[in-house]
Amino acid sequence: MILRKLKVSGVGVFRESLELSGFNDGINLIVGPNEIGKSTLIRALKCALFYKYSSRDREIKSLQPWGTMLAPRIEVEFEAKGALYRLEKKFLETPFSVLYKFENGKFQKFAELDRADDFVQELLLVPRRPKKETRLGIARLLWVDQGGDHLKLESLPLELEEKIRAILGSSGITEFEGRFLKKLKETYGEIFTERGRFITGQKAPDVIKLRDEIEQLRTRLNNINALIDSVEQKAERIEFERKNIEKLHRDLEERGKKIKKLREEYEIYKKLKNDFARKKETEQTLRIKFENHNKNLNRLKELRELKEKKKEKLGKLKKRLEELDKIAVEYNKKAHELKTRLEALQKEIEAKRAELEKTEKTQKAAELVDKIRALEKKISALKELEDKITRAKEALQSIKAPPEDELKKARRLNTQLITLKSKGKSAGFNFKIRALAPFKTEINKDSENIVQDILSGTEVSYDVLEKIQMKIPGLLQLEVRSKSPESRKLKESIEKAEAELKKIFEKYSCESIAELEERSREKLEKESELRSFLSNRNFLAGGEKIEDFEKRRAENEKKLEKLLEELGMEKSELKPPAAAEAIKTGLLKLKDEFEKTRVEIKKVEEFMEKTEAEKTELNKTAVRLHTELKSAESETKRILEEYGDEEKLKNAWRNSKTELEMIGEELKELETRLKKFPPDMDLTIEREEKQLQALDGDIRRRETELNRLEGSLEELLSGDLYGEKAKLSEKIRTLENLYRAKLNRSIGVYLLYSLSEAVKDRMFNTLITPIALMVRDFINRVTGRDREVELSKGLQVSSITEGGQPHNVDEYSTGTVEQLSLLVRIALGLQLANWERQLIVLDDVLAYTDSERRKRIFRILEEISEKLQVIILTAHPERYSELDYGKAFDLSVLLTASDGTGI
Amino acid sequence: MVRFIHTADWQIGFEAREAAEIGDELREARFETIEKIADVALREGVDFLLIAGDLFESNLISPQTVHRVLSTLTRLHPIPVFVLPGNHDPYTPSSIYQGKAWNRAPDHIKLLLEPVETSDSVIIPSPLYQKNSREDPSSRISFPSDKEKIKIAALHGSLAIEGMYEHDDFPISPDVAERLGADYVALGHWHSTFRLNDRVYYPGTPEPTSFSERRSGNVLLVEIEGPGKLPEVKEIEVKTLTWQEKSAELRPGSEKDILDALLREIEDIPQKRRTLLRIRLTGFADPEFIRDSEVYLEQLREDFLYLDIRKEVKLAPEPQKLEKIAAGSLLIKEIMKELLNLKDSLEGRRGKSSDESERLLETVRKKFGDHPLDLAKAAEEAVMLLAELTLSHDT
Repeated sequence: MILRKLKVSGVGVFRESLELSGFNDGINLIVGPNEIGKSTLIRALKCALFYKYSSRDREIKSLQPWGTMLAPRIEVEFEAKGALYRLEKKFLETPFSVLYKFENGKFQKFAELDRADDFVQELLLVPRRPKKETRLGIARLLWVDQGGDHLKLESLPLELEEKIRAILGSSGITEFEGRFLKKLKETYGEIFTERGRFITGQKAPDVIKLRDEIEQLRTRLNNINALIDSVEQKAERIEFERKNIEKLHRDLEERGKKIKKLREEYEIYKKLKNDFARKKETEQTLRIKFENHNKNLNRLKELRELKEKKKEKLGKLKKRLEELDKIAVEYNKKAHELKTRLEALQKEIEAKRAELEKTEKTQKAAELVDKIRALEKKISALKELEDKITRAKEALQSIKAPPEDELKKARRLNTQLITLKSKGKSAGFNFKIRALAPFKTEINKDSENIVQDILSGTEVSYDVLEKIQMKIPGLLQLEVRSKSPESRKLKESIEKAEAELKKIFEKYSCESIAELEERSREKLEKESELRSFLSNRNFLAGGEKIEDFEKRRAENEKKLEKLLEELGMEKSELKPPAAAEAIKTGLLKLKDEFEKTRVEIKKVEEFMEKTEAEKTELNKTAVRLHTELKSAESETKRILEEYGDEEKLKNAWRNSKTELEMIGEELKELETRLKKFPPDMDLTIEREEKQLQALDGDIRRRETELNRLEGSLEELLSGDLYGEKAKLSEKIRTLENLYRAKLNRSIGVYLLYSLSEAVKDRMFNTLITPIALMVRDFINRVTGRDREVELSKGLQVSSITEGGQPHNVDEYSTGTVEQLSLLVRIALGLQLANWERQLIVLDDVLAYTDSERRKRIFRILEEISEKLQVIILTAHPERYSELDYGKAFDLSVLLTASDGTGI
Repeated sequence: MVRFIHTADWQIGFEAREAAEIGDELREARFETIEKIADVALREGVDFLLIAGDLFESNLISPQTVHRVLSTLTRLHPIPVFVLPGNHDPYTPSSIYQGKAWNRAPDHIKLLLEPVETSDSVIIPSPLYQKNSREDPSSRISFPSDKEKIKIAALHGSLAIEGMYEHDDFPISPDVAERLGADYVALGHWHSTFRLNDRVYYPGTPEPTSFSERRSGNVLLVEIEGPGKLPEVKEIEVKTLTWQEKSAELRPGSEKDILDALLREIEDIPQKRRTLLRIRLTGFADPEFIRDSEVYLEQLREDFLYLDIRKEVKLAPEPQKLEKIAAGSLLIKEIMKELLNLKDSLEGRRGKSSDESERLLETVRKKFGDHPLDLAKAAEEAVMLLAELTLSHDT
């Protein structure tokens, strides 16, 4: 906002109207002596712009001229946001506010009252609900009135600072800077993504494309290098194989030589072996011949000996035969004697046997007599017992007793009856009568009829179970009946039991259970007696009958008669048995002797048979010996015929022996020679030859492999491996240089862009930094020294760094502080000027500043008047003689000229 | 008397480790060079040509390439060509010299596996059978004492001079000539022409292979009067391509003058299309200057066969320049301040980096850790970018 015209009346010293018009864009001077009302003008301006027309604030009231009730009236013409406005205001008495806007060549009413005030305040950056420190908006800092301590800079409220920053935005960047940043951003964007990475893919920058290309080329180069390495490896293999094959060839040659030598030796060996075999054959023939001679010679000797032996044997045989003849005669005699004795013994034995038979029969007869006697005794005893048994059985039959189970039943019934009756007594009732006069009655009590005479005065009692009927004939029939079912049941049970018991008693025609018991006991006694008789009979008869015993007695008597007949004796003649045993012993002795004699005879006969067999055998041997003797003699004759005589045989034997010995020695020598050769020479040769063949095969295989290797190496070598490698390496190197350059450039772009962004942020995202930079610039120009000025939030000078040392503001002179405070205001104004030209009011500042510095400040003021409107109020115009100002108002002149009514 | 060409390390089929982009051109140039060697041999009428190892870069060279080499050497017929297997082409079963292509070589091209005799000389070779060894190849050979011929040893390996050899790189004792009693020791392996003493020489590669080689591109013409006589050795340049390195140390304030001087020097290089040039810028310079200088240097690329620009310059922005870059913008001034702090701390000059920038670096390391990061360089690039973006608007 800048001021164009100010008109006041009823304000301070200006009771009448005073108008200042024609303020220019740059520096304006308002001159006047002290107390003339310079500051009042500024206060009036403030009140008009920043206070509501309806306000009765102390500030407003203080505008009223001393001792009057005049209503202050102020008219302001100002420019803001590219438009010209006129604000007319009257306070306190009939206050109003009217805002005009210059449109179409004239001022037109724009708003009134509150709306007018609100609009103006909005224009001047006053918050909607202003606080004390924000009521004046920016003017609080930019308009320095005399009253305020201009040495101490008001701080910039945060609320305002934010408002300013919102307005300024990036408008702090000059066009030049903007172009620079735009160009930089473009350059950056060609290489990097938003997130600061290299762009990849189609639009990738050269540096990335180069890197990728190099990567590909490197892979190719590696492949070639691998091939080159394989050449080296193959070459090494070839060299190794070549050496191997050479060695194997040498080995082959040596083995060949060895085999040749072995074969030669083997030939010699074979010849010797043949010789040996032939000689061995001859030796064999000779040996056979020699053996033959030897055999014949020995045979002759043998035959001679044989003949002698046979003759001797024949002699011995004859002698033995004669001996045997003598023995035969002797034994014949002995045999005859023995046979005679045997016959005598036979007769003796027969006599003894007859005697023994007779004795035995007599004995048997005696025994039979005894047996018959015993049998007769037993039969009579048995007959007696039988009689007793018959009698006992008859007695038993006569007793009428119940069997055991029936008895038991009777007993049970009896007991049951007693129990039931006792129960009946308790279950039933008692019927009592006492007769006043005696009478006879017929009573039926529980079906039992009783006829009783009842005495007078005597109590008669009946235990009734169910029913009692009493008939007193001619008088009454009384019936008393129990209604209990139990009583009836009991009564029935008793009747039933009584009936059953009665049945048993009738059966055995007895009266009581005692009688029945007595009879039963009697029966038991009789039974026991019978059992004892039967047992005795069984003991005597042992299961047999009397007839059996009689039959046996008859048989025995028959046997006895027969025996007595045989013995020719009478029963009476029977003697007790005698020495049967002695006879038996004699008989045994005789039998023994007989057996012994028979054995002796057999022995003699056997010996005689043996002697006869020996004689036969000896005769046979004699015949054989004779034959053998004859054959030996003929053999001797045959052998001697072959040679002529024995002497000739001996000569032939001796010659043969000599020949054999000679050839034996030759063979021995040959054997020694053969032994010097190693064994299995043929096998060794065969083995060696096989190895030779294997080696040859191995060499051939290796040679094939070598050929293959050489072929494949040849193939590799026939290409242009090194040429390719060289070209690829060169290409890579070229690209790498380019890539490095591009990389450095790209990273350079990144660094510059990042730094620029950082600096930009720092400078324009706070209001303080650029202001601080400006203040630093200004103060250094004013003081001619290099200082760093640091501002805190709220634009307070927090420290000043000089020569690397930070200082507090207090340490500086009042003049410097005054200058700093002025410069901060100017800087703030300048910063705001980027948005809109601002008015700065300086009310008698620079009082402590020397003329030199003041002059420098003037230069700055002149500079900034390009962008700011400055109104300077002073009572000392001579101080500003060096300043190039645009317009000056002399209040004393104005007041005189207009005489309070304006220009 | 004997007169021959001593050469080595033809490295046919060479892989370009530097100047990789023009590998094909570099390989092709070697054929051009060996044609020149054949020309020299014929022109000088030598007794033989001795190649002391590494005729081929590898044993895996294509048969076509072998054939091309053989057809060039066939031009010398009947002058004998003696070829010694070196560490790049050792005589192994996979050796190129055992392959079909080489077996078609005409008779005057002989592989040096055994001693050979010419009318006046005896050449004793020590062929290599592997790629590395700690054994001195000269220890395997000796000259027959009764020969009244000029004794030449053909060896491939590294002279065992402290600081100039690896222990497994076929170390050759420097007293080799005395020990063997050789009239001349023909060495191969080192790529620069090198004379150890009157009798021991490396010819170097006839066609350079690197910017670091100081004296390559020659063959040696050797003449020996007779046994015991000192050899006469003459260097003959045969190279096809030239490898050059130009460098300049920049100083703030006078960068422009220094660069101008360098450009003038480069302008004077003859045969630019047959030259590989490396420009190395060191020292300190303003980012704006670097940005501008790049434009100039890039223009040179068309003139040369190959151009390699190595900027090893440290950025040293001047305060005024920074003001210019910031163009009065507080924002850019702040960014610049932060960036320079970051850069300084990355380069280890000052440990003063804010928590914020430490966090940023941490994020970068985390996010892009799978790339070979060089944060100091990246920070420099950031400064350059800032300069580019602001200055272009300003101008």
